[in-house]
Amino acid sequence: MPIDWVDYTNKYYQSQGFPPYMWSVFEDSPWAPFEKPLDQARIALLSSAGISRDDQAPFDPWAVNDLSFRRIPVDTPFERLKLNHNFFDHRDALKDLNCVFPVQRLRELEQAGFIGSVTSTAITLGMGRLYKRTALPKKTVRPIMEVLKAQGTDAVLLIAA
Amino acid sequence: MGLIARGIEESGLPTVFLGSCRDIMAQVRAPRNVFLDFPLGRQCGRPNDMAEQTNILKDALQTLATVKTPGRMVDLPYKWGRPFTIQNYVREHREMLEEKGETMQEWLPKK
Repeated sequence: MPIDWVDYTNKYYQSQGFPPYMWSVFEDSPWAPFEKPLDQARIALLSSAGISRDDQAPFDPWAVNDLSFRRIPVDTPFERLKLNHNFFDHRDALKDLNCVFPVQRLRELEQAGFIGSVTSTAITLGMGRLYKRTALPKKTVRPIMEVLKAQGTDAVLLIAA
Repeated sequence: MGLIARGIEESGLPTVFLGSCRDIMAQVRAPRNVFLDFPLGRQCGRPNDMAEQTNILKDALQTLATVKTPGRMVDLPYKWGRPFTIQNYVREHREMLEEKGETMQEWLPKK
């Protein structure tokens, strides 16, 4: 049985005196058709595991309402990447960032011809607890879309942390 | 992250959302959902298991072509191999913070 995260989070927040988390619940989903063959498509990677490069502002490991993101060139050596995210057990991810930021595997899938290509820049977020969701489209989605479009992205793989 | 997937899709780019919190994914209904039933923090597979990570990513990416129903959830067949529950998460999370010399966060949101 998968873990019941909603129930756990509700109870945890209540026990800590945090305001109740207002979950986003939808009955339907937006849709953009994927029209290229996968082996010709340019794929962008988004990960919310709090990863930044050593010359960038690190994410707050206890982030609340962090709508910012970082651009990470996909050829950045892992030694230059930091992970700041205290809301999940990231010990395995520190052994191998591909657990939550699978950029090396994606580059191999490009070399193997499984996908057309990986965009040269991946996008990372920290976010944490989001209470200010109304600002998300303008502050986060729109600037991310600019980065994606500038790189000729055909589809986006999002890794939720 | 589900909201960002929705926002990107609304802006015209197809997305696939890979994660390990099935109930949260089901209610936010990103356009294409791929669920890996592993403990949180290994959403793309075990550390240094390149073959498994590659297979998980291939499965996830393939849903771009195969899923035709908006909001669909695809359950991946990979097994963690040991039982894990919310109690494991709580204990391992606390262990990690102790190793880092941190304590559980004490904060109240600013008004």
